[in-house]
Amino acid sequence: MNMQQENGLRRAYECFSRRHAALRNELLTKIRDGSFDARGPIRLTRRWPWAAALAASLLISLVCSAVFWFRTPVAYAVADIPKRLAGCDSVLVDGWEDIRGVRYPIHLYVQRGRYLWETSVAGVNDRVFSGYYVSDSEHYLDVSDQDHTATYGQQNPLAFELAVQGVLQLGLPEKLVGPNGSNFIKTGESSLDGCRINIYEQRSGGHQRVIWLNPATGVPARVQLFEPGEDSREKQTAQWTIATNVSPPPDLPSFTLPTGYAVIRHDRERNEAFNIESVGGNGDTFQVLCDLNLEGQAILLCWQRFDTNRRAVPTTQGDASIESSSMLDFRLANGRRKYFAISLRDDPWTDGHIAHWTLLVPENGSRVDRAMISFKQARGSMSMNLLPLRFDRTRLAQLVLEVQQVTMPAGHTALNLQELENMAQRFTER
Amino acid sequence: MPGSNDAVFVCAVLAGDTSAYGVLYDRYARLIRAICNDTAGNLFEAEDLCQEVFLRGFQGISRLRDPERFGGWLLGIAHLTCREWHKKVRRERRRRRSVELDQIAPPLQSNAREFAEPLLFAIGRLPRRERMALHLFYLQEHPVETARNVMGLSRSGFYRILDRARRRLQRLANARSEKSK
Repeated sequence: MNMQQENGLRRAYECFSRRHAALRNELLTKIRDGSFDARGPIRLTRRWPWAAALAASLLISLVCSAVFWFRTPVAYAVADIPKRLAGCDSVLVDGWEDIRGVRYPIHLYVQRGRYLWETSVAGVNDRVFSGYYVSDSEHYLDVSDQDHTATYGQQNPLAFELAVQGVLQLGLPEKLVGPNGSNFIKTGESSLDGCRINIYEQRSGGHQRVIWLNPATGVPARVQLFEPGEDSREKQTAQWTIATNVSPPPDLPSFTLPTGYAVIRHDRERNEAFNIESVGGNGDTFQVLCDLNLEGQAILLCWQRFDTNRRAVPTTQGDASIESSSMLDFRLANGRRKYFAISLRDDPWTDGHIAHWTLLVPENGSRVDRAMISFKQARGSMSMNLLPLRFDRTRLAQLVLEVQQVTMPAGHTALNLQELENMAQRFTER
Repeated sequence: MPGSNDAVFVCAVLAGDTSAYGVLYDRYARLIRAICNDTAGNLFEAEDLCQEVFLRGFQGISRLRDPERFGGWLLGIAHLTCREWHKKVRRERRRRRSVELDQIAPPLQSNAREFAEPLLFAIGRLPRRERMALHLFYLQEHPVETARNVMGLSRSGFYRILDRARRRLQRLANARSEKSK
């Protein structure tokens, strides 16, 4: 083989390394999240498929009979926590977090349709800043020690509702269970305030998370975090106590402006209703404005993509070369099953960008769960998890119209839930 | 020596250290991608299949009897995953209905030029062992050790097959250039 062909071979084989780092991160994230499709390992020997099928059916019958005859009270485990939290009317979290050896108090109170109160602590360079945010469906107050400002004004009711649901369905479960909800091992039992508690532990890279789970409610009563200390002993870095379906705490802050802060008034407009999630690199920015789970059948997604390096941002669809939905690759978080991306509408949006409305339907008609969006770029790729919010059907039907109206120009008509479901159904049946 | 300390990382994975699986991924993912590419004929599908192979490997790693043999075991999973994929594609071709759908969700082969890479295409036409020898030589840090673990070949046996693969590839390339003239 001559040198030219040798070089050609080396170049040809480089394509297998090109996206290696990104794919590696993707895989490890899936493994840590436990979010991959549980198809199970392949059996390398398949000599007795009939025997295996018979054994499996016998086992299933035995398990079913055992469940029927020895029915025990439901005992929830760590995997049930997100669902159980999402079903709570209110949640109160009190505790502390250690930042550079100092324990800062942490509070969070969320009540569906009524309140959202959250304290924050952040370390910036050598300093630690605290703050709090309190909101109901009409007002909000955001106090920051970092820039010493108190921002207040009228709340947008839709923004408040989406924020509360975001905390209950996504933010709180991730805070308590961690980004990787798998690999918890039950290590013991105890009691806390007269309730029986199961203790679960997760260890990863020297870090440890201990969840004191009430098996009757499926909600943690206490969560503790530990990490390796300087003297090679474990050091506790956080502790949160959780109570559900409780009245607002007496120290819930009012909307009275604190003294000594620069006051900024800002009334939230309709176009601030969305809690924007971004991912980007090399100027290419992708943002999810809104995503709703249409009862497991499809995802209603509003998104925008733009190049921050471009001087003139696209104002029309024809100009928006980077904003084509054909650039996107929608798939499940396990990376295998793809979504049909049905383009619904493109609306002119803030800063000259375009808000794209897309209906994502799983290709094989399976239920919608998490989705991952991957983007191919000139230099590498990026991906983003999509965690669509769920609502009961009555509210979902109203919300589907409300969220579309946020970006929709006057005189246009939003697609209703039934129309979207019919559209998804047609694709599923093909 | 990759084969000899795969066992260390397999044991670390079994002890709950998922980052150790990243090391095993670094060792074998490129090779698995190349093997999947031989079946799928396009890099995007090969990447997807490779991810699936590693997910299946992770799910089944506790059943791996000899951690030293991780590479060969994973290659077994790769071959079965590719076979399943091939069957699925054949099944789907029979009830093909994607013309309209492709217009809505365009196919992923945006850089199809890569898939038609003539050299990779020619490699795909080589006998399996020769193809494997080339993959190992160009993608593995220690090809001889890996060949010993996954193909059961001695050092000289590996280079013999590699040499045969290169000569056959050369013949294929010559035949192709003569045809184009």
